[in-house]
Amino acid sequence: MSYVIRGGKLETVKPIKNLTEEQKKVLKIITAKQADKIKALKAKLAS
Amino acid sequence: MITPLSSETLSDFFTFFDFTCESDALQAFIGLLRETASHHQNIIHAGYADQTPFGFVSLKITNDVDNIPGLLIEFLYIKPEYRLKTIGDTPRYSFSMLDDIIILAFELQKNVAINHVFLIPVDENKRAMYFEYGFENIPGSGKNPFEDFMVFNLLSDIEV
Repeated sequence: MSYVIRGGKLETVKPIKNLTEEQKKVLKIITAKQADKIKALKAKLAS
Repeated sequence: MITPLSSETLSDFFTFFDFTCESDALQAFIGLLRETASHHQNIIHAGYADQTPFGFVSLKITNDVDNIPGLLIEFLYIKPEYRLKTIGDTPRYSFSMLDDIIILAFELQKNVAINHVFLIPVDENKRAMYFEYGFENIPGSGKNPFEDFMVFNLLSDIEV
């Protein structure tokens, strides 16, 4: 379960189901920024 | 590095923090996370700077995003005096903590199929910070745009 602060109150967030193709795309594609970060952190781990 | 706290050490750890400057809702959130951590439903990891706690992050495994397993950053807190300050060659304490979380996710990946780190920012300023780090919005995933999930993908060409 996730939480947000909505209207000054702590509220729970319902899980999301049945992702749209647009939403799935965000999960499938690794961005250049993410790839660079992963590369840098793996290099740091290897050093 | 971030350090996981056992339920027995939570009370001592939080004596280093004063949340009275934070909103009632944020204080309630932190109280809830402490309670759930004491029941092993999430793990609070401490961030230290020269052995002094500068913040913490609450982590758990989630399937809230279409039953896709991921590491959930429930909440990341940096003491006000450490916010926007640099630490070594890393731009910010928050980014340093996020680096440690991604590294932790790499370790998890060796044993369980975790290919995403998810979070919902506590407010829009924080969303901009996570976006700057590399997280992406999952559009339309929240009750309103301010509550959309964000994701950091750990693998390319993932089948969803």
